[in-house]
Amino acid sequence: MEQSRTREESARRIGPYRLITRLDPPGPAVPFRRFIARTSDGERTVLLNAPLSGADPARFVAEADAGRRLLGPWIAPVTDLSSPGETPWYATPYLPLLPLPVALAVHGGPLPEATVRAVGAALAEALAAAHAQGLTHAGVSPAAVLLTADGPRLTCFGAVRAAAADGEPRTGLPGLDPGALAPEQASGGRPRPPGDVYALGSVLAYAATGHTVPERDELPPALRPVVSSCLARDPADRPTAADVMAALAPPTPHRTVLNSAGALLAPGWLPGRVVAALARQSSELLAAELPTDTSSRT
Amino acid sequence: MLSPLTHDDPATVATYRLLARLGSGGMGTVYLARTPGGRTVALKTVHARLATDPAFRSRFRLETDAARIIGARHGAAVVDADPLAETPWLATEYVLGPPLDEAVALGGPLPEPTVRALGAALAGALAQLHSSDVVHRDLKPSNVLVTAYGPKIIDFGIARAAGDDHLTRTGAAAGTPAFMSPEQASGEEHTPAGDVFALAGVLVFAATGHGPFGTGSPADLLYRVRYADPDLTGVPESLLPLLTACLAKDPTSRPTTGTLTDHLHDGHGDFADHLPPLLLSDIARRATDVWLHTPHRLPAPAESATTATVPSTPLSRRRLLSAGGGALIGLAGAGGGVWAWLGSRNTPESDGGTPAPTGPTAIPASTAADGSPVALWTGTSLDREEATTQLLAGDVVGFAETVSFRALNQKDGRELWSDGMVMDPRQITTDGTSFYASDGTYEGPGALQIRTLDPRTGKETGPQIVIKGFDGSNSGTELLTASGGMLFAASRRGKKESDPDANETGWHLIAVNLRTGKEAWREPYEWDGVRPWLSQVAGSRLILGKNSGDLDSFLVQAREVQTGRQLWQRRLPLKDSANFIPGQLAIDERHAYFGGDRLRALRLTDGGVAWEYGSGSGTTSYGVPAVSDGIVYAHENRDAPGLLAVTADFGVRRWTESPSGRSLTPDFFAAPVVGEKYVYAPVRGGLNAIDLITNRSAWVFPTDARRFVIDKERSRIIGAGKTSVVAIPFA
Repeated sequence: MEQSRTREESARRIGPYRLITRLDPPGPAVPFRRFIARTSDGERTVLLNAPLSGADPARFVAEADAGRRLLGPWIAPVTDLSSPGETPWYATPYLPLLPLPVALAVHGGPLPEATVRAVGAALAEALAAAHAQGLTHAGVSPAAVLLTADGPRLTCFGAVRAAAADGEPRTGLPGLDPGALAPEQASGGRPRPPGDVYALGSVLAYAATGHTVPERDELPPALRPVVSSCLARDPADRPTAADVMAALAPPTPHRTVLNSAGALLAPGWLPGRVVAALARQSSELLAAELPTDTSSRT
Repeated sequence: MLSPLTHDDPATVATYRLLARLGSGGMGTVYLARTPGGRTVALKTVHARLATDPAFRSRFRLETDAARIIGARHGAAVVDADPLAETPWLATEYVLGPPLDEAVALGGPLPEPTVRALGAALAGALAQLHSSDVVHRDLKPSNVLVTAYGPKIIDFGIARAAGDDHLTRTGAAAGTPAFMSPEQASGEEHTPAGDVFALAGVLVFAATGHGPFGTGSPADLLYRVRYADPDLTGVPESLLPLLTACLAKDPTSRPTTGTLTDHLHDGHGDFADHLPPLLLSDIARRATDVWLHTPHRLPAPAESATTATVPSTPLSRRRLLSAGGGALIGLAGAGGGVWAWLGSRNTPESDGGTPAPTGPTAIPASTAADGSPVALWTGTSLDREEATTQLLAGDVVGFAETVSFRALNQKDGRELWSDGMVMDPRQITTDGTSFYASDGTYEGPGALQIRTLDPRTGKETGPQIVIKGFDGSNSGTELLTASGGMLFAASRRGKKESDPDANETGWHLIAVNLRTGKEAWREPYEWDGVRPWLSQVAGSRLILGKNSGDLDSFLVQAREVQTGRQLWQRRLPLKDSANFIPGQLAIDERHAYFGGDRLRALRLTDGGVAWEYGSGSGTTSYGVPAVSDGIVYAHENRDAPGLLAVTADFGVRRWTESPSGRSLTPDFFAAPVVGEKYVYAPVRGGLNAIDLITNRSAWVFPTDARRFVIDKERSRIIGAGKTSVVAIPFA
């Protein structure tokens, strides 16, 4: 598939995990190499992240470590991390999941407005929580959003910071989705919460139209104001993540303070073909068998 | 769906490590299991006792072959099998989708596009099977798994090669009457056209929620399948001609599977496009839950050495009468217990061993790891039906079991006496001082006859009470409760009839004055397929509760103790109401409390709803409650199920059980008992003691008992289960 297979890939191993499959189809805008992998005893299946070849391993590890502070229902938790000196990687427990671009591909086009709204509200909620904690995600992009049966999971924490140090221009760097990169970050600015909101706007635009920089009239009318305001060039003109959440999930009498986006994730929030693809992935990974004799397959 | 392993499940079968139980029945157990390489499969094993039967091994092998023939697209992919192993096993893919009957139970009848897509895919699957000269013979909703990519047909337990009849002649095979073909019902050859008939029945079920020939006893169903017109009420009009043709009595006039595929669906879109949201979300949940499962094994019950003992006695006729055929089918949704029970009925001797003598067992002082107390005494019991709660009279505890009534000393568990005349649990009751037992043969003496028994000796302590004019048979009489010198019973007027329908009329509630032995009053009441079975005197009122004939609601009524006059009646929605263990009404001075879709308090004065707790949204439900000192306790079925405590006056939440790290499965049909330090909540495999201060599980006492009472001295809790009885210290 890929031209440049690294040594550990051809050995089909990273850290204590044996690789089963790649998560993403070939494409430029994924900040890490992502695999579904399993421990040698067959017990634990994980989503494994490793840096792109040529990326700075130290910054990758620093971001992975910082990402452990990020928790919540819409965050894929970092539960396992490479030891110092090892080829860097980190792992999160596996659940059936589809990167947003894959979900659009299997659905056959932009997602229904109800799906976009539910995904957007959940992501806005996750970002609002991170911002309240003093964390800027700096990795929001369509590929960073994984859809699972019960809602999205935000991944790729710190991808923008890992790609290049502050002060260096970030345009055209491998793995960064140009459409999801806020102008101030592209020019080398330190990632701050308004940059996450810009990226969130681009993710919603992507989910609703199929591209991160849509024509204004491509967007569903009900989503137009909120998405457009997120994509404002001037960070000061953008809403906060909490504003976006309130716009996407208007308060109802039943809503509690916590987990308000969950109300939008009622049965039917995911289109049938996306559910089918999740079930197929689950089924294929249940059926996946690691060769018990390692030497015979390398 | 995924249940913990039990203590006697093996750790491995062949090279597979067992992770969870998926289901269990008369034939064997299905596990979720994993290979050393991490492949996860459904592993079906056969009971060792069946595996010794060569005919059964042939069937199992045939099932394996049929599963291979139908293949991964229309069936569950076969991973591996060993029909020759000591415990034969079959490993297939773990299919991510609900059986069709569960899918319909979950979201109601399916919309027409779903039914069409399902039908076309099933017809295609049958075509493939038939082209390999295999007929399924047992196509029914529970054998069709609905995945996101189409239905999968499973369970070829009675599939056979066309023309090969020898397995049928062994008597091992039988279809399901509700979806059988008329030729199968007549004992004739079931050809591919028979599968078409069954397929149409499955589609009628999918579209309407009922089979084309309804429900009822197997004999009724067989008759209707052969002679009655199908009931197609609710079937979308455009499907009527095709399904009617498939349900023709003459096999030769039914359409072929090819015609069905062509007429049902034009092939547009993906299968998932045609699925309703609830079904999709159930599939997505199954696809995800299997990855969240942590393997867990239940502890051994206290009496594991005696659990192998199973009574080889016929089942009470009465249980079958009171539940009715349709009711049993309804119960299947409650879990594996029903299937295990039905399975053991078919082979009553099968679990081996002779019934152990019932009596106390000295328990060595053991050190339970989690600090649960040592049992004060234990004993065995033979109580497959668990039809009543144990009766306390003085310092004696009475167990009305499958075929006898046994009185035990509460202090040491010694058996004081037993009474073989009491064949049915509903023939005996107590007022806390004496036991009262009704006598009557199956035919009935034509009178209600009641003996008064001394609790310590079992001897009659007074003249027999005789009330003439009632049929008096043990299926036509039920002693409800006794209090304040009055005994309350239900019985029917007239003689026992040979026609079962006739025995449903003429039912009365009767009050007997225990001092004079005379009838105090009688009031007719509507049978509705089930007799009252919960009863309690509260002040001047007799409170009665029973499940309704359709099992979807629960009727509560209050009558004046002195006159029998009905004060009020109320119907509450309560699914699976027949699963509640009789004898457990939660009543205090002001209210009666009930679980179900909500936790409810009814005022004793007028039957009005004093309060309701819970949203009633269908995502939560509540178990049988208990009330003590102004607090109502019930299991709440929520994301993390556990015990809930609310105030008895206004239904305000006080606390919910805090997670303890234990993985416990609450028993929603058995009532908690409330102690001073703990509230004791029945969970699968044991009794969970929840500390009233920390609101956290302190320990779990392993036992198969599900019914618990506190003795009069409040020093011990006495539990009764299918195979054991136990007393543990009360705290």
